[in-house]
Amino acid sequence: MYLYTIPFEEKFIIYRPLLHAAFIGNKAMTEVAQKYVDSKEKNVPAEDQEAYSFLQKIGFLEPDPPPPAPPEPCYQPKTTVLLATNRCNLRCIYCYADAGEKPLKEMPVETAIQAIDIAAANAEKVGQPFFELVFHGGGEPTQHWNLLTKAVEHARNKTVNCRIAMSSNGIWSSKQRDYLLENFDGLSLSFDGTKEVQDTQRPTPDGGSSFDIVMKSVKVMDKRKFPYNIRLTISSPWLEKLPECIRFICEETGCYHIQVEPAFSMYREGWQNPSPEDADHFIEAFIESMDVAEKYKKELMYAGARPWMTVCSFCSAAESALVVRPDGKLVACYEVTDAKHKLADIFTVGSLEEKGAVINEGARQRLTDMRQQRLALCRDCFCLWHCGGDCSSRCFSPDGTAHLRFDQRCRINQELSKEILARYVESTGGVWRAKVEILDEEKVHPDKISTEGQWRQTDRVKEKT
Amino acid sequence: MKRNDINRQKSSLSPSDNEKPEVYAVKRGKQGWKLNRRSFLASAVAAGAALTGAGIAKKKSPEEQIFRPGTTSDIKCEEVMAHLGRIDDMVISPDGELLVTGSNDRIKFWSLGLVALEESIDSKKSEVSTIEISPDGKWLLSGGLDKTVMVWSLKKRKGQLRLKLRKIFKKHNNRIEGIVITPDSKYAVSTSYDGIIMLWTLPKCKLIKRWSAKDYLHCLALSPDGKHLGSGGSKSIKLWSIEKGHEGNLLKEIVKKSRGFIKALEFSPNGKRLASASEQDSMLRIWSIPSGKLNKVFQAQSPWVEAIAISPDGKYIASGYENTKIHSFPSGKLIKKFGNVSTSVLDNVSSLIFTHDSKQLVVGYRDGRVKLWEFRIGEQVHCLIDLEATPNDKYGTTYKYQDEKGRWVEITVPACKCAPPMPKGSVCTCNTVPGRYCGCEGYCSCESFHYWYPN
Repeated sequence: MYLYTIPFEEKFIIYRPLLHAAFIGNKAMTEVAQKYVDSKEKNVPAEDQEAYSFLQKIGFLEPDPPPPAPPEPCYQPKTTVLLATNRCNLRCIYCYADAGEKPLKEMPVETAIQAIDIAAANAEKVGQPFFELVFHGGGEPTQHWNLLTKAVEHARNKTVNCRIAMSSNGIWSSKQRDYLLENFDGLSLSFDGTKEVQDTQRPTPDGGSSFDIVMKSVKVMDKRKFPYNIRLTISSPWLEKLPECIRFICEETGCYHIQVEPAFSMYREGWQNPSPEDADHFIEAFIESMDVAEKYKKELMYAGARPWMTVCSFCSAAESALVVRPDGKLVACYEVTDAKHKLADIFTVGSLEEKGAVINEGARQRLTDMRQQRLALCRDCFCLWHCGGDCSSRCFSPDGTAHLRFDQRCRINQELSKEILARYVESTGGVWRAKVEILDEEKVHPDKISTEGQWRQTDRVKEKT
Repeated sequence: MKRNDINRQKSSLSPSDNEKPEVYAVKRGKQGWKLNRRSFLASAVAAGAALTGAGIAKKKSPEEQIFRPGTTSDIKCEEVMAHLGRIDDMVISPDGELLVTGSNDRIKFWSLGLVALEESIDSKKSEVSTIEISPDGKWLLSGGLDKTVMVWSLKKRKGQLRLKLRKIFKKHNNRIEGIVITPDSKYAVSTSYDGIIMLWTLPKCKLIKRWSAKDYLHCLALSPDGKHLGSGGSKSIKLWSIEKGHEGNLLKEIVKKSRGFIKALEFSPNGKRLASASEQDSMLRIWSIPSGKLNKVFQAQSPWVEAIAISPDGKYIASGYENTKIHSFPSGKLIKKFGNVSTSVLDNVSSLIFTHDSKQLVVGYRDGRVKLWEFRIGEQVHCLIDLEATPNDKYGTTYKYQDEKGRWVEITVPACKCAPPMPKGSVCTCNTVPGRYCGCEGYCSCESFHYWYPN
């Protein structure tokens, strides 16, 4: 049974992550919780009666629901992520891939088609009524337009349905825009907020402004009610501007979901851990931004702090996605876009050959083992079940030891998760409990969904009370 | 199960001597968090309400379980939209199963059984101002600002609604303000703002008769026997005959010089009374037919009545503008008033219709909301949602279920308190039952957009 007590304002957030339940109590209350959660104790002494009864009433003594299923031992990805090109029409200051500056690498159409066929076949094999096709960065996917359109056409022609999405910088021609909005099911737009921040952090190759053209894309997506979220990256010098950027996005766009990621390195293709001061600044800025987003009833997210979710890994790229580089290599992280990436050895897990996908099971297993080693060390952390060990590409090192250390990123995760839990408790008047129902013996009905993009209307109800 | 280690970050858990267990509510202030001790009882009650809202307070057997889509107190009914703009007209199919709403350039079809959207069509770039369904249920007529009346065939095949534009009636020279269809479904009568009334055949759109009401017209009403036509305009209410051989004959000029535009007209189910509302004042007027004598006047809305509806059982009349009022008909006694009186004109009622069983009132609003009310008790029971019109998709839950013929049907219902129960055996559209593990995300929380999150 997973029970954590998190120091909070001289009291404690008493938290059951798998049960999605939390409340705030004093030290004595933490002791009562520890005593009776997962206890078969039947004789409750008088001094504990009231507190025990409270725990019972709020369902805090219920057993944990089953944790998320571990990754399938057999690698059968039903999602394919194409790292289509390293060409880019922007020069973002924090780009992990140094996109646009390196010798051109573009994925051949045949490679994309092969990857799509694999994901579709896997989906059909297990009776999942859809597979996923995602275009991701290391470059701007729309810069390899030929591949994008051919891949989309091929995916849509499969007998099993396809959900198509992408990450993009929003720098599109009107024809590209119309095509994307017509043929995609959603996208993640990389956009940093106000003109000042956007143009400084995400300039064009000649140092010019990208703000206007991205806002044009935003306006059209809003008008057509196209589902998209915004991923905002904020670099250290601009942290104090984060709330302003969030306000701008809330006021000027129809985007409901904003994800914020900090970039502490000031070099392209560089990553560095935040200093304690950087971490403090980011935490402060993010919390202030949460207030802004709340006022506008928009969702603000930081990937390491998501207590509404229950996961056993931070990102399922390694386990359930076929992430393909332009050279046909299969990688377990879509930031490893290049064979020269410092983590390429660790994260390259196979390749697409003529005969099919050749998986290096040894490499996959090593990666899994490293993750499990890290997770084992995470067990004492209350973020375990929603952070899932944090982003591998941030925690791992070429010498294979960094994943056993914990740094300021963990502190950021914990502080922000604590803030979110406190807000949950605030919103419910004292006890947070979200719905986690496991129903009995319900059949899953595999069915072919029509190709009219009906899953644009997917469930989006946040289960918090 | 093992008890896990407790997080020992920065705290020492030395025994709390003499300290009693306590729980706290928190509140954010300008100086940071403020904690207030709460009694166990108060906290448990609050939690109980929350648990009930989350559907987990009481465990029921699978047979008893009514699966509601995830509902959360965060979703307000006011934000659940059916259309992007004002609801201009609503009509219910003769079998009582389908509600049709018209607004801007969209016509939407809602299942009243499931309280969900079945179909949405664009009216070929014509802004819809009025719609009507033929009594035989085969034809839908929509009239709009483009001066035409579109004739759509209405069929249901394999459980799916099929609409096809069959004909366009193009004889008017001004925007269409009213359409009625005779009880035998063979004829339609339409009027345009310039006061020209036309009688034509359905569905071939052959013009039979044309006459002028000599007024700027805003609305039409047809008596249940199909013999009398009421027209309401800028200054008059007139009664016309549309009996064969007497089409277009003026029977009575009920009102000659109204001080305001006649906003709405409706015949009672027995055809003996005609209710009218005008811009001139807040009154509803009931006229005897065919004498044209004023029978009753009573205050309904302020400053005027925008929409009226008479229940099929003839017992109630509803009026709407700033709120909705139910009066007994024809006495005019106020039975119920509901809906907030708001300072925003967008919150105002624009269209009303009773369900066929006279149990519920469908209210359409200027901002595009459509709500169903148990009007006798003044309680809102359903919100109609179209995710294309609602500000953000988190306000809806989409699920699939099998109908009686084994066909899979996908529908979206609102995630506000009005969410109707899901049929047994429904599945989330990520193809699992809410709460179970979902093949795509590992755990179906039905809360996140089903596409890839970059880390």
